[in-house]
Amino acid sequence: MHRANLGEFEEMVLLMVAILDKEAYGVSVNQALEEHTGRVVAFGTVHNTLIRLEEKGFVSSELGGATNERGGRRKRLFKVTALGSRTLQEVNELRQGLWQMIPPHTLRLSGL
Amino acid sequence: MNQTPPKWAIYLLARFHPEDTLEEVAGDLEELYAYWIQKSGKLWADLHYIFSVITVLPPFVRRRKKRDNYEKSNLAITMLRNHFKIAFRTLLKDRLNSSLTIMGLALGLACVLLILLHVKDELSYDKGFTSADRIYRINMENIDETNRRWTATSPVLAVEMQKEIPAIQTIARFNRPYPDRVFSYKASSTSEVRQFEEKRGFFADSTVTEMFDLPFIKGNHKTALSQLDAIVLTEDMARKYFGNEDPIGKYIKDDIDNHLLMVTGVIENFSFPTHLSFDYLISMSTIYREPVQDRLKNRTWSGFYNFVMLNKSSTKLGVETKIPDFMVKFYGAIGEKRDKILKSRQIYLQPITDIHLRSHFEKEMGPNSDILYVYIFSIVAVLILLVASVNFVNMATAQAFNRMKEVGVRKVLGARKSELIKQFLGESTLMTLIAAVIALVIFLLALPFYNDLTAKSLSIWTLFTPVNILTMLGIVVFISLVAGMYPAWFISNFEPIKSLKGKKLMGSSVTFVRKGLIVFQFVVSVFMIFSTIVVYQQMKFFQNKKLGFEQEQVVAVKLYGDLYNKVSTIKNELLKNTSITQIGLTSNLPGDRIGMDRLALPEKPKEDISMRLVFGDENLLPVLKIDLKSGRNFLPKTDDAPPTLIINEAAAKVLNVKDPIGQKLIFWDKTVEIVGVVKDFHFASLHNAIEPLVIVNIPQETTYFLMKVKGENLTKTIQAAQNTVARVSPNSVFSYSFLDEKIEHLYDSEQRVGNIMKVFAVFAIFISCLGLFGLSAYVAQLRTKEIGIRKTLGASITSVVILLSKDFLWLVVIATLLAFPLGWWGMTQWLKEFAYAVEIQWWMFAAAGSSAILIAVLTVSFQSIKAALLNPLKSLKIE
Repeated sequence: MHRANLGEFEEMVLLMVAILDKEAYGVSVNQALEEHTGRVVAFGTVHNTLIRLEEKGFVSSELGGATNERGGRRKRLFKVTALGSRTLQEVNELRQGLWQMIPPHTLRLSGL
Repeated sequence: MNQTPPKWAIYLLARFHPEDTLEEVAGDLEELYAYWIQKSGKLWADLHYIFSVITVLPPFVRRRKKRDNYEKSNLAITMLRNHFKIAFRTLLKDRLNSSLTIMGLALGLACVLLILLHVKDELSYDKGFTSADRIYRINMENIDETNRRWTATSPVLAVEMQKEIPAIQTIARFNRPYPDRVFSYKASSTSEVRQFEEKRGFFADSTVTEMFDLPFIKGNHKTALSQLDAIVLTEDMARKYFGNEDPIGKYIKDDIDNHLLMVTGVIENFSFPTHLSFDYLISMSTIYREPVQDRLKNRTWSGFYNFVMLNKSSTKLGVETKIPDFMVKFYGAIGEKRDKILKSRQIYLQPITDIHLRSHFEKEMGPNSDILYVYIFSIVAVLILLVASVNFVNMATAQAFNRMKEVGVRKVLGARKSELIKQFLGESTLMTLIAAVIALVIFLLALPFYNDLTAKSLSIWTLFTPVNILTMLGIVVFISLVAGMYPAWFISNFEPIKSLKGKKLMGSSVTFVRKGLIVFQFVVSVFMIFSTIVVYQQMKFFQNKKLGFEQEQVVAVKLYGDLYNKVSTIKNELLKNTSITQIGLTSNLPGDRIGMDRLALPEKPKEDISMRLVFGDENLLPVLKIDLKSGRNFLPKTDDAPPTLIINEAAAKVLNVKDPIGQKLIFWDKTVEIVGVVKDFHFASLHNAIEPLVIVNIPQETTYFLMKVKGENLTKTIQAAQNTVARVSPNSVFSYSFLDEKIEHLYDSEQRVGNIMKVFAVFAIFISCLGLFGLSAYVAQLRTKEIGIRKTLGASITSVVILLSKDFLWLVVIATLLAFPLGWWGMTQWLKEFAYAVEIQWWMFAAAGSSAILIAVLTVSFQSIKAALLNPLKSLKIE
């Protein structure tokens, strides 16, 4: 059910939030995406996606404490909710299942 | 090197990015900027930064939803219940002010309901006919100095028009019998004759039945009016003559023309308002049996009401473009030249639905109302509604400070502004609803008085149509919004910290608004009081204006048939009674719409001069005490002598001859002589200027005799006269009226407007004072301590009263000053309707203003004195 509710890019961002573990916020997600997937995306896209993920209930957020960096501005830190992590797992299981079903020679034929 | 992003980009971000995510986004971007500089240099970082800013500006940026999921429902039952509870508690806590506000609103609403029904009724005239949108009356306008418009036209006009213009589907004509008929019915040789004069009836074409959907309850509607000597009666009239008998097939006698008419149908009253009002219809073929047929073929006599119904596919414009050609043919047949035909008159179609409100022309079927009054009443309705809403706004904002703490607590507990606005709007809706229910009750109680006042017969049930109910709901919602919006907005704007601290933020804006609203209320009130005074002055003026003749103690008696034949005997008999001093004969009574006829100077026989024309005898002028200016009165007329004329000054001016006395005129193809000129007198109502008038000495044409009677024992004198008439002419109806009463009736519609204005003026000032009363009570309460201290320090009661009252009174004085130019302008417009009108004088302003101020003083001082009299010991103890 939830899979239908999670787009490909959303999934990526959600994975980054999971990877970053309590340190996920706009900048870090943006940089992680670039680093791990090579995708350079506009800041606004990440910002909007995070908000959307929160609306869908996959992540939750809170404002972190003020620090002396960034002119004392607080960060909004994201973490994956139970629903988010279950969804990620389901997606993964589905993928795994599908991988299992691929006959070995098909992939060989495609050059892998 | 400058290590910050471009200032304008930062500004853009701060200005347009959603406020609630601004902090984190600005921080993120700053961090990224530093990263970009390090990675690829300033220029690249700047570009990157600008691009990123754009991606987080509207419309690209996504906004965070305001609340967490669990608080999404707007219909939180618990909250609603709480709101209701609080609303009722607030209402009950300050009973005086709540009831004042609600009463004010209820009164205002009741007024509005009445006016709404009234206006709807006025606007619905003649719209009930099935083909109302296709029925037109043919009117004619003379193109000359006077531009008179005639609602009655030639008997053959519509008939000929239908032949020429195929778009006309049906025609129907009415002709008012002249003089008014007297009918009689005798059930059997032994029973008593039932005989009455009937003033409301027509000869009518058989097509009338169909065109106007006559509601037949007895008789065959297809044939009822197509037979000779047939008459259709209304239910009421049938009952008057026939009692419980079935009238169909029975004969009723027309005592004027002296022949029998068979009742072929009975109709009930129209179920909708219409300008067509009659008690009987006689089949049109009956009139064509008259011995003298000339006038029925006359193409220039304005005697018939011609109605046409167009085809479904035709338009008024389409027909009217064909009219000039038709006119050339129509009038060409009697030898008129094309140029003259088109230059001297214009024929046009008037939608039947326009007649009631937009038609004040010659020979209207009956008195019509005026669209002006519809406008006036609608405006009055809106004003009264606003005045009542103002009370609500003022009380709500004044009491708002009592609720500051509540608002503070609500806000602290997480209420949003929109929620608070909803709460307070809900409260205003609740109050309006309560007021609406009370308004309905008031409306039901007031309806009979209203019907009395306006001579209408609106029924309670007319209120409960789907449209009306929707309108009422609409009004309730409208008031709730209008009255509730400002207080709701104002209250929900309190800052929680300040309001919890109990700081009185007596914002100057709200005081200003409140003062402005009070001024508005009193402008409306003073304006209405002033209008009422002017209307009443105008009425008084009508009653007291010297008309140029004496209408008092003159009794007009209808003269017809047998009565007429014996008129000289009757005159002699009546004059034996010493209470009757004089008897004169006339064809028309002052105040009647007097018909016009054509005269010509012998030198220019082709140039018609139209003047209003009355027939009378030598006693007419003395009975009415009309003064001669020059010449002499008529001499008693012998049968073979040619008639003589007396004209009024206006007519003398129109004739424009050196000495009118002795001037010969051609009238009815005879040469007649002017023997006298009378001073101008008001033979018509004072709405019109005095027109040229000719009095012709042909007693045979008269239809009334006027008795001048002595003032004492009036009823006895009339009784005696009635007995005399009954003795001399046993089968005649003695139908009489008092001239002065008749003349008073000319101003019924103004009288009605005056009465209505009076009632609404009282309402307006009353509602305004309710508000003022509440506010002054509230202010006095707020300042209880201050007054206590002042009194302890030696302030006199008077000074305290003045202190408390003067703020309010100033407002009323300002309102009075503002109302004057408005009132002056408005009433000048109204008075323009009359040819003879009162001047607006200063004392009228003064009276309106001072009465408003006086009422306000009484209202305010009641509270102020109460507060001032309070023992300071007590007032200081209050906490």
